[in-house]
Amino acid sequence: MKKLLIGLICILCLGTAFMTVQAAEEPIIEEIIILGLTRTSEQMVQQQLPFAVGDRWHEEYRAWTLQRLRMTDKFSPAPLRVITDPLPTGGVRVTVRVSDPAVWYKDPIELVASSGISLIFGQVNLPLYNPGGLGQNFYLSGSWGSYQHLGLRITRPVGPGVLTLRGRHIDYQSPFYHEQGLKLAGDYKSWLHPNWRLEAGTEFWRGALDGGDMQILFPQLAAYSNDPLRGEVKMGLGIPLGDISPFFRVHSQVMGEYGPLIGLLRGGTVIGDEAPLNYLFHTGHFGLLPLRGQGLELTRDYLLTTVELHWQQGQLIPILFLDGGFYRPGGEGGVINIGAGLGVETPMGVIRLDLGWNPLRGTTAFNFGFGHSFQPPF
Amino acid sequence: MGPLGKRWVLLLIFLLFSGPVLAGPPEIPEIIKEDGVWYAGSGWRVDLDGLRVGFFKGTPLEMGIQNGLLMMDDPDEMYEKMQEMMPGAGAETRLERLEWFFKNLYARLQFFPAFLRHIPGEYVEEMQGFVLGASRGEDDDYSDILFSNAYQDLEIAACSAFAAWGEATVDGELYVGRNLDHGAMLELAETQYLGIYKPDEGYPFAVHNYPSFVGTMSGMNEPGLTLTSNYSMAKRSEITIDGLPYMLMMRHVLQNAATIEEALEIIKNTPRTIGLTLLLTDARTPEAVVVELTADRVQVREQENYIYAANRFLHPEMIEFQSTGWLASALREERFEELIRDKYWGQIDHIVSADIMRDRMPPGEQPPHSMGSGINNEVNLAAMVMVPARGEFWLSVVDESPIPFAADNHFVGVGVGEIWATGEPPRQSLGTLPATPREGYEKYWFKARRAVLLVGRGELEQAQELLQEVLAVYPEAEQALLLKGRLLVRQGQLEQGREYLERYVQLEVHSDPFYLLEGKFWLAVVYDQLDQRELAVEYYTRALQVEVEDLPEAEAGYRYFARRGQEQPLGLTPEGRVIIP
Repeated sequence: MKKLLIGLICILCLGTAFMTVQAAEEPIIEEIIILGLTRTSEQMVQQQLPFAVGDRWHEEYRAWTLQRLRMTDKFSPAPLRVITDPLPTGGVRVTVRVSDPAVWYKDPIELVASSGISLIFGQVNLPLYNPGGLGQNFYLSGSWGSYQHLGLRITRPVGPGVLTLRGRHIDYQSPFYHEQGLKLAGDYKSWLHPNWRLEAGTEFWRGALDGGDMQILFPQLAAYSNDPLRGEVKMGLGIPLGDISPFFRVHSQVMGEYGPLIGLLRGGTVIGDEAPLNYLFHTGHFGLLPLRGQGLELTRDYLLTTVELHWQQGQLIPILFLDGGFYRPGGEGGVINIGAGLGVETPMGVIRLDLGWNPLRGTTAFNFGFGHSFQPPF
Repeated sequence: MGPLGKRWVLLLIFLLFSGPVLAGPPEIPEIIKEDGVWYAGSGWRVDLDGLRVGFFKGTPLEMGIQNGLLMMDDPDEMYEKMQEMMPGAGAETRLERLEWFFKNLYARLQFFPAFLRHIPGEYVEEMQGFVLGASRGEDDDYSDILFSNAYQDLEIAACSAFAAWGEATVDGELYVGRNLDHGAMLELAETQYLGIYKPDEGYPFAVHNYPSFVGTMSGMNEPGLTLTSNYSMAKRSEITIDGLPYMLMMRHVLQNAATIEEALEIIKNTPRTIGLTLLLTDARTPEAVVVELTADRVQVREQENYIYAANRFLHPEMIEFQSTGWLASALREERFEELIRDKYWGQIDHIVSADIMRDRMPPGEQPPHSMGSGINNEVNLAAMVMVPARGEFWLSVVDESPIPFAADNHFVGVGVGEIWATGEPPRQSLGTLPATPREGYEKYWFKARRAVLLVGRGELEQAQELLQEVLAVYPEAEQALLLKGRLLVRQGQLEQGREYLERYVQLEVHSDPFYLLEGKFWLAVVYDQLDQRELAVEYYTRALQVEVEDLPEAEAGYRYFARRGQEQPLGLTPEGRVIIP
């Protein structure tokens, strides 16, 4: 026993010494240059950096910095780079290359394409990227049809994260309920680690659900990871400011890839019998909780998986998929949907058309959408 | 609000919106000619032994107006030249023209706003001033001028430069030699001028330039710095168009830096665009460095007594960021070493410096009849020597020849130091250096190099005639043999082409291994067309065995095709392009 203890101590000491040697090999950051800003203040970028002059450079800082800068949605996608130049002194110079986009748009092709797509889906979006140079982005949006809304979202980098405030007036005629009212929300998110992002916020909804007045405060907490597991956990507590009881909602998803096989496992539950319908989950079709061979349903609890086989041929992606699992109410006995689809890679992302079939119910459905059903949560 | 309050509000609104109207358009001075000097405001222009020299003084707008008035004799002609240089100007079919229309439209929507975001307001003002001056007050739309200051970031140029000082030179002073090599700009060569600036803010400086350029590629300033640029192809991930066009960065350095350290600070903190090797010198220390950079990286290469730059990175930390593409950098570097270190050590002055830039010899100067390019070449549109300690700027004069061979023309010396001090036009130059006599080997070198350029322009018959003349006198001129062989292959005369290529490959000495790789590759392609597969494979293999030091990527260009050729026979299009069936 004594020998084992000594052995363990030795291993610990050696490990610590090895790590110290490893750390000593990392060069010291002697200089940080932020290049390319024309509107945003340098300080705003500095706040997002997980390192400072005098620190030792770690390779993980590169991706970490890029994650944070991308999250601000304040800079053009290119050039957005973190470069290290070795210096004759043995230290390193870190250059962070960013570019303020034009206030109205980021790229002419992107503008035309995204506007066209938005119009097809009955909505308009107008982002204003840091118009006054003070750091705020403004996103005005509106839509018509069954989901009508007018909204304003304002984001601003604060510290090493981003603060978002949003307000939205909604009139939504869902297949299951009619929701009207005003939603106000605020949240703060930050990449606290190269692979972990935390998000905390609250939402206040005041309006009418199927004619009945409601006011709900809904604080939420979420965590996202991209390594070693790619997934998210999101939970919220509904605090009605009226007669109904509080409710709790949690859902999570994990994604994995193995060659051309891609899998996604999702689970969620709403605890509280009086939870309003507009806080329940939607299953069916493409993009919500995909069960692509059947129509939309309202769900309180679910455990669903999606497996897809992608056979990439240039820009075309023939796809076979299987959606299955359990949900309640309606799918307690298990459900399985299978089908095939075709994705096309475009500069704007993937466009997909799927045909799904539920063999137990004998239903089929066509689904058209942008992006895959396993889009990572960030 | 009472009636008085309303009046105040109205007055405020009036003042806010009437400012530009009340200020009125800027005054366009009259051009006056006196004793052979053209004056416009505080600026002037004089022609010295065939060299146009302009002096511009005042605010950015004033300097721009003076420049536009004095250096733009025929704005329409200049505009046409610029249009000819626009990407897509050579489009022939309707489809090509339509494609380029959209590409140019996209460039205006995407590139111009990106460039404009980074260009300091003073340079935009100077561009506006230039358009006002050139149009004699009728226009101030600077969009085309913006493009002429930025398109260098979208093209590929070559260029060579060196600096020598201390033990290397005859008097210890610092001398800078510089060739501007840019095939796409040859049309502009004859419009060059020496621009001497005395801005209200910043240091006085002098630049070699072309009309409409507010930025520059070569210049020196009053404190004693010189700065010249060479292109260095960097990997795609290392470049961007979202930055300050590099010519404007160089102008900014010349106007605002007094020491190498200050210049480096400006360069490091500029949002840059492409790969460059900049020769930066300080006459006072004296010292010189080569700044090797990409859009985001900067490394500084130092050396004692002399230093040079061609079109590749030599700093160990930069080599991995070099893109594929070959511009004969190794050959020119070797020649700089031979000429500075072995031939002219301790003798370098402005005359020797000009001679170095005229170099047309292969390494070792053996064999003498290669007819290849040395430091000098067929896309050389300007050559200059700067002696910053004495405030001297020597510039070659270019005539109307479409292929200028600038370094071989006569050089004119201008005492810019005195002009900075007095602001007065000089009555005469510092002297001239005579042009290269076009006789003997030189005469045929010009013919051979002209043939290279003509082939590039598709003027094949003229090129054939020139090569025939060269080979009649120098039957072992390696470059002429190679080009003749390639030309015949391109024209479908495979057997004759093969014969010339064989003669080239079998020469005892080849001045540049890249050409040997090229020769062996084309011979292999010819054998493929002649259904002699075994010989073809042998030559593809022999081509791949040629080591080319300055060809960065092992799987690019000829090497890539040679590997494919080993696997299967390669074909030829009617235009002589290689295809993989």
